[in-house]
Amino acid sequence: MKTVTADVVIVGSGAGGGTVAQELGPLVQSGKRVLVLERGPRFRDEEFTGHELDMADGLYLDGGGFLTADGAMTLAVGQAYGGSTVMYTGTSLHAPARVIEGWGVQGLGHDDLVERSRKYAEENHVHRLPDKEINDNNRLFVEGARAAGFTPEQFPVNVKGCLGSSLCNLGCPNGAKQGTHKVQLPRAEADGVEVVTRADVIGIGDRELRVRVHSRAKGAMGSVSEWDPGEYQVKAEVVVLAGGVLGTPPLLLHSGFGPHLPNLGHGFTCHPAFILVAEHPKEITNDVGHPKSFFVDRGVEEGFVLETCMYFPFVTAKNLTGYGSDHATFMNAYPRLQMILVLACDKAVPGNRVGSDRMGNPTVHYTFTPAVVESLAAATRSAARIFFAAGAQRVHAPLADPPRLERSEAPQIDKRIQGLHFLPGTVSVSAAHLMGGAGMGSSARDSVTDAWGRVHGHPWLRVADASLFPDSLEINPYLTIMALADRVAEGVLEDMS
Amino acid sequence: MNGPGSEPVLSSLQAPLRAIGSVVLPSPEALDGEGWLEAEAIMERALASKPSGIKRQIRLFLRLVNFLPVLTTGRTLVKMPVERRAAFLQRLHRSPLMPLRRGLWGIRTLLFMGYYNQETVRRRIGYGADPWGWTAHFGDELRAAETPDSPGGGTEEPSPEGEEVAS
Repeated sequence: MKTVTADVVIVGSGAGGGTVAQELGPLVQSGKRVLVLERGPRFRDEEFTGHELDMADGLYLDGGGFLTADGAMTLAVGQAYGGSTVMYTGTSLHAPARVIEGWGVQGLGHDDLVERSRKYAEENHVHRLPDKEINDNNRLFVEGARAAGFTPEQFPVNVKGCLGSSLCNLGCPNGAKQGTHKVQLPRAEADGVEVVTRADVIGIGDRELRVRVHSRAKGAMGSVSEWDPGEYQVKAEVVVLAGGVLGTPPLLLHSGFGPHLPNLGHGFTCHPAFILVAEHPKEITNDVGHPKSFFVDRGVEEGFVLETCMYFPFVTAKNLTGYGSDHATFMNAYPRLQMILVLACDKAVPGNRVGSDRMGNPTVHYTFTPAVVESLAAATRSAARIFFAAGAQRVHAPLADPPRLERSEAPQIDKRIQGLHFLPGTVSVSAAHLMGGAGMGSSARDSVTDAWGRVHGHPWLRVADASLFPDSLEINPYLTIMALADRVAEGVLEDMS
Repeated sequence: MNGPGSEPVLSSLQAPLRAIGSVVLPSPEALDGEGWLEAEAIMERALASKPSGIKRQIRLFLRLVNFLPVLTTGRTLVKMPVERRAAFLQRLHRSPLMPLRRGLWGIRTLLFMGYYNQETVRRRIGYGADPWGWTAHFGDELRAAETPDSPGGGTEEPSPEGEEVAS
């Protein structure tokens, strides 16, 4: 085993790790060594072909098929230089004041988070797309939502030179998405921060990590690692964990931190979601243009958010409930389909947690609470109203039995769409906003880290990813992760000085 | 394509897999012999990197589903007429036992993966996403006017009409 020594090691290069890497660049200028260890490979833009299966295989944990322990929900997690910022849609929202105040973390203020978020919104070119770049799928959502009595809002997104491929979730083929792979990491590397890809951290001890660097399999996408394949011991004065919710808590648990940190792995939330589709009488622009430009936020009132979306054929087929002729009716109408993603604002509850198996692989135990099921049902009813108000002929609603609703049945939406039809294992639920597991708080009795991401009892160890969230954020999390990571970097800089 | 050293998962279970596919897939009759082989190759490729435990579960579930109907009808799933096959699978789909629902959901997902990742099927349903985005849909004029760089090469110009978020 080779030994490498650094001053700071950052595990993960997504919204959290990429941000910390950039902010610690000045340390390198002053003679310190800063390493980023990223599990996934480094991709070139031309490798993002939009080919659904290849991209899912190359970019996502378990090819996009990571399941919760009971198999009832699929979790989407990116693995790449840039983490999940490579394959998200770039939606960038500021954390709501009520949520941050509700977390009740002493020393964490909403104003501070927003100020830091603004900095990254500017750096990453966050803006609202002009009307001419909005496709019919999004336009119909806005029209339908207004007609049905909702207030649609436009997502700010972090794209620059978007050609409207609609392939955001498979990696942007045009290099338009301004994730950490395009902004923070290149700047960090220009400052001398070293990024090592295909580097899997398999254990962590007192100021040292065990790292396994993988070779590139024959025919696999992405570049070879910057280091030779093999096992390494990496020693560092400061370690920042930013491997995400399926990275950080499982690593700490597998490395024996659990007994001293009883809240480790707990507080997991994920905004459980599924897609609804509706068929319009005429073709619409749906698989061209940015897919996720608008949303309706009913988090406070009814515990859900509706977002525009457009998925690829296999993902769409998988997410529609059932099979056979009704299923085929919608799939064969692909050019006429409008889609809405419904997300429940779940709350941290006992039992919903992230863990580690004996090999160190992540596990997630999640039970849908009655409140989540009711939120999903209310969201489904609202989405169905929006579809019909926008002129759809029929709607596929996973919480109706059968799931197909014709336009003539619109008056029966409340009766037809109900939570009692939610049967885990038949409805395809997925989640991409994984949060919690190493929550912030005041002591090990109520949390895993302090308000600056420092792990209780381990001053050399910090967390800088969505694991820090003590509860659901109720919006898309990336900008908030970057703001929290900015605080972590500030803490590290103070430590190092 | 299988990973190095990995054994095919579905090769000995082609008959029950196709029997389920005859009910689950939208147009199974549209899959000729080659279409099925392509679908199965796609599924095998996805399974190649899965843990051996998952592969075992899939084999076990396919065998179980094939033989379960024998208890009530005296026929395996493969030997049942399509209508009765569909009724049996519908009972599994709504089964009170989560492992049966989950197992069927998993096989259904695999079948959809094998089917909807075929280029002919994607074309047939009208899927048209393209790295060139708007220019691919609306012609060469846009391409010439707005995107001098090729997809994959990127462009560093800011979106000219992009509205900065009010800070």
